Amino acid sequence: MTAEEMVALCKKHTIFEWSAQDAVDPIPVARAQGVYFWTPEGKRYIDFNSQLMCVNIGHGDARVVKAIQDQAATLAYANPFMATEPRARLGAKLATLTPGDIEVFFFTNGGAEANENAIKIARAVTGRQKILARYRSYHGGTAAAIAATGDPRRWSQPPMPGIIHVLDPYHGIERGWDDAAAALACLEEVIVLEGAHTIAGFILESVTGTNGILVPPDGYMQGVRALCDKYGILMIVDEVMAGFGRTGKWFAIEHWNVVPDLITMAKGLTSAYVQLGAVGVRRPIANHFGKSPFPGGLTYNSHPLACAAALAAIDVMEQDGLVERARTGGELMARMLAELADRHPSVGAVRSI
Amino acid sequence: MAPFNGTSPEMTELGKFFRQEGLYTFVRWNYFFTNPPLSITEAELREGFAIIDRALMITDKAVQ
Repeated sequence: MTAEEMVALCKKHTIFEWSAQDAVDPIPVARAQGVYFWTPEGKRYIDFNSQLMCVNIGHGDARVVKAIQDQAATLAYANPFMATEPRARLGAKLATLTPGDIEVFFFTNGGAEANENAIKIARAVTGRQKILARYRSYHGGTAAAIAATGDPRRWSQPPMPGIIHVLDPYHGIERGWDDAAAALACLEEVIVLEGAHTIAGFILESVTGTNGILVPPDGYMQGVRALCDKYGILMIVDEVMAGFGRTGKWFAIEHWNVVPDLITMAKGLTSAYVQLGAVGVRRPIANHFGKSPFPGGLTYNSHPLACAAALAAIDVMEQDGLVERARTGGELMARMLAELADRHPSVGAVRSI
Repeated sequence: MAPFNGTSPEMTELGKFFRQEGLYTFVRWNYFFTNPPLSITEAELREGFAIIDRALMITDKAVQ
């Protein structure tokens, strides 16, 4: 198919997300390898966004392709009531990677569903209904996830009762940053005024992603943890974008030595070779569902093909030392960003971690 | 460079330049991202940054 046919047919019969369709002008993509992808006519792009901040290991890794092929040939699908080897292995593997005693996982199709289920879990476990979230945030496009989202993508959606938005330490390029203490004082004020005993959870990105790579000041995440402990609120950390090596740690929350109660992930979990999300919970939260039924489910829960892809992608990250490479590469990139900021008057700020 | 939830001629121009020069990334409001695969080599990183360096001359003109 030519690039022209590809674009015309996609535009005629498919809908592009978050956009007025007439204005959409997609790049036609035929193949990808490493950090590059190509149009059908052979124009090459260097992928400086890992597509949607998700192809963390790079494109076309033969080891992951092989694992997917093998799993497809052996057992492409089993329903969520079944036990499978990829599901078994992935749960056990993630338990070794996630912080603290987060060691039980519920698998979804992606990040939005992971956040959706994290909110359900927080409500079920606490018996409370309200969820705190932040304005400068994105948590996904489905009902509760978009309601928790703070950015303008929420504006077109019906508001959901029980979602309370708070400000984070960053206030835009002109006002800049609050220190951790000031941001935490505002947060605690909202908690108290809302009635702490009515709040089930606080969902927040460890490093805010599409709203501007906002790295919180040291002390903020530790303070959020302390406030959540003080008021019995479950801390839900969204690592969909920041997880799996993106910040030079397996999970960005490790930068502040904080163990959340729930952690959500997707994207880098499989490096997007197959779609998969997960919500991970600490052992005591998992124990709540020992006797109470878990309040969620989906046909593609723990999809064997996706779990096999995740295991292979994680294996590549370990074999190639990609978390360490992200850390050292990140240091180099921070220097290069600083040089650009020095040289270009139009650069107001550069942010990285 | 662009208002909250908005764009500006120079940010639009910046995005067009990236695409024309073969660099893919997200351009949003008054910022853009540099999130390559973690496997990127230093040479590949410098290749991308060289395009960004040239692209920023477009936005520099808007503040001069």
